[in-house]
Amino acid sequence: MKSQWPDRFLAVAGVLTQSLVYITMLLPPIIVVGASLTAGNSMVFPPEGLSLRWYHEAFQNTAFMNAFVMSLELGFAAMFLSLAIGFAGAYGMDRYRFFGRETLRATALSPLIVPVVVLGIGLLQLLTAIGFGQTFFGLLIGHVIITLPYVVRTLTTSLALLDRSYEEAAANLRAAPHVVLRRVTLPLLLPGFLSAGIFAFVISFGNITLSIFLGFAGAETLPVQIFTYVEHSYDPTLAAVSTMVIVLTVIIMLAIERIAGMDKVL
Amino acid sequence: MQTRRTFLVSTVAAGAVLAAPAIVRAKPFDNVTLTLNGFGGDFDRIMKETVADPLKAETGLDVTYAPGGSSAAVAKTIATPDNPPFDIVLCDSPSVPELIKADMIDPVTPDKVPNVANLLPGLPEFGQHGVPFMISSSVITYNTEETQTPIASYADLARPDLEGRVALFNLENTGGVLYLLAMAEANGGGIDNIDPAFAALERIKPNIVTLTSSTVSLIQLFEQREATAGALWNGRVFAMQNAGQPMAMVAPSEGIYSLMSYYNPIKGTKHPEAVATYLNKALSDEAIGAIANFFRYGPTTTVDLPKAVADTIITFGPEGRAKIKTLDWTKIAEKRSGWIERFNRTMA
Repeated sequence: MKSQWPDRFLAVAGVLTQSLVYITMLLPPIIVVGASLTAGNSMVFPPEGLSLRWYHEAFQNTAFMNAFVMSLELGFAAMFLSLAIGFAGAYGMDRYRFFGRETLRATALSPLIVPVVVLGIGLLQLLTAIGFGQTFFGLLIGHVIITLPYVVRTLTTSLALLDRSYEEAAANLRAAPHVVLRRVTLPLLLPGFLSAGIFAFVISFGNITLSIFLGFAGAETLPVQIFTYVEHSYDPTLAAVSTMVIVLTVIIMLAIERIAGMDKVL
Repeated sequence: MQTRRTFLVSTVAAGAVLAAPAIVRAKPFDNVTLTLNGFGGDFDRIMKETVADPLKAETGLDVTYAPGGSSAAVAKTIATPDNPPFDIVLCDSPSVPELIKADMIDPVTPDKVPNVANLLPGLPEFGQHGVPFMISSSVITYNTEETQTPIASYADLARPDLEGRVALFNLENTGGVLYLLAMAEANGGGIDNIDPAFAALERIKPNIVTLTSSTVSLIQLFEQREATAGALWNGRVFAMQNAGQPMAMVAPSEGIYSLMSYYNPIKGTKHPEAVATYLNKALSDEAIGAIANFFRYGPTTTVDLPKAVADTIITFGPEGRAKIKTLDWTKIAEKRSGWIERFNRTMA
């Protein structure tokens, strides 16, 4: 029998590559979490002793806590609005043939192509001109614009993969179109919605550039607060705040796993 | 017997007596809010404690600090001249010429802001445009546990024993521009003749482990001991020392090259008097002294500091001020992109 060494070599190489990728992805958060637990004054890894003092500092820091709440509010608002608009757009483009469909599709995805800083300056001028400069609404509009391409893209794929025979069966049984949408289409698209929602929330939550331009006094997001903080201060409070974000992300992922199963969502 | 009329009169009278303290307490800037772009973190905390909180108590003025990076604040202000988002913009020397060019800064005069008389003589770089409140200088820093021979100049960073151990800013960070100019002038050049600086950089090149635009990355490299020596902001070196790191701070023998941080009152503010009051308070000894004391960047006024604090600030007082090289930031702005291009080509 012929030797199987190329297969074995590839299998070993695959495992090694996988391990390397996972290590590279996991190490930065591990280092941040480790540094946040330091008892010393510097953000170094391994930590100098163990302590929760920097978490205490972070919770006492109203600027960070307000920014954290602001980012959550903005992230969820942008996510829901983006899902509503994005689903309407994706549904329309998937189900109907109309003039300008491709242009609309390209426009919906265009914020991915335009540098965010350009988008930020342009939006700032536009929103100021129409009286929405320095408002939460203006900031929200900006975040919806940058999250929309991910939502449209994800939901378009989900719609394309949807087995239409379920909808047809429901329609055959005399379900009205809105009933089909509510009882058949939307439930079948749930994993797609969750996936698009995660993308939208994460993109909004992590955005700095647009938030700097469209943010205003009293509406600082967490990334902006962190970014500005390191300009002049550099202590483990940052690592503690970042760890809270990591924990939040893990909780969201676990919740989704319980609700729909990660394999269906991603 | 109390009639309805006497009851009403007495009620009104009692109300007036109760309201009187509130009328007496009315302050000049009740219901006025000023917005500044903050520098974030401890900066905003100190400014709140030494400027905003006392002003609130004395005048009723509310101040909000919106963090987000000073370059972005300058860009936002220039992009929306009819409705600027800030009453006062905080930014460093390199950004002030842009605001002047866009005609966005209200000149500051001693009759409006009496405390500008406390500024060190000859300090403001842009005449009546902007009020400087802090001096950040580029200094040499090195780990005293890793190298025993002191490093006294930028030229020393080319020493063979520092091979692969030097970390510096690139020119995206103004700290890089400062050491570049220092090396140019020390070798017979200057803003108009930058060649000697690049010749000096070529000598340091074999020692360089990293060039970065990020102050945080540079600090990380020193704290994690991936680099032994380099050039950094004086306040940041002090912060590392304060956190127990064995990092020395040396005023380079080429001279002290600095930038200043400015308050820039923005044209078109709805509250010019409140802005003037804020600036005056921000130049008080309490405010300037507190920032200098915490960060150990140079104060811009004649404020007196305890000797132990003053000794750690290389630009302190008139003697310290005399060591600072005067720079033409408008010209630097014109030349900078060319220097960056050449730097990236040379140092790659």
